[in-house]
Amino acid sequence: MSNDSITRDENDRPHGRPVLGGIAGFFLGLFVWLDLILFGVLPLESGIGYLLPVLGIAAGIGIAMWAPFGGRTADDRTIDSGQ
Amino acid sequence: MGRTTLTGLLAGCGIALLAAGTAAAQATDPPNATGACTASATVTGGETIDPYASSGVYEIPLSGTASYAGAVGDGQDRPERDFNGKVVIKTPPGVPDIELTDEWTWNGPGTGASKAGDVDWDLPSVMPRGVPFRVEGFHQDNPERCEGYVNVKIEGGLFDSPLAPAALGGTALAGLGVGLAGIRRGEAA
Repeated sequence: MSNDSITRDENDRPHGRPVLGGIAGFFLGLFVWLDLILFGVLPLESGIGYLLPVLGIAAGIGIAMWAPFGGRTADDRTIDSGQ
Repeated sequence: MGRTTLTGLLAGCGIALLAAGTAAAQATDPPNATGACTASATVTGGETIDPYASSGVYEIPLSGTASYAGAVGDGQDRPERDFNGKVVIKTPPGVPDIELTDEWTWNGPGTGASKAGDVDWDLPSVMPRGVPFRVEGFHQDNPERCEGYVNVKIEGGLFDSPLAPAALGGTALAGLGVGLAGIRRGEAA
């Protein structure tokens, strides 16, 4: 087994689309804020909703970097096969 | 004189106008109005609302009419003096409050200290239903000041407004976008 294929540099890890994740996360936070207002969970005049788009950006980028969806990459297969 | 009397509109009165609802029995919150003013509004075919009796939540129809009355102190005309007042819909911090029509902002100088009349409203159908929002106002009449708020909501269900399905659809699309961003791409090594 090659150590090179196991100890990959962090920058080389497969990931998703962080830019898309950040943008989509921002809008997800905005819409969730709106939903919470419409469902009466948050009052319209509350400022706490400002956190949601920020959290959305962080979550979107985080999910994109984690990339939990989709098939295994060639890198994963290399690790598994010990090549 | 007529104009000054008209501009002697009270904040509490303004609040009552906008809060004019048909379900006063649902308005059980403690009052949140201060100052030596009186104000009430009666919706046509509905009940009387008094912001000094309860801060809401009042339910109002999307469109309707109401008669109102309000006064500062005993409501008697006073020597000409400066005064001002405004009624707004509160928004999140940092976002300018929603100003209503000119009828909801007033200032002196004037001699009037009371006002009564009728008002009608016809809100756009996009207004969310059943969502409480705060209507806040004041009347500064040196040295007196009256201020307070009521919570109002529009009659109807969540999906009576196109805003609700639009918001849910937007949430789904944005969630899909986050999901797509989380799909691994390419071969990284």
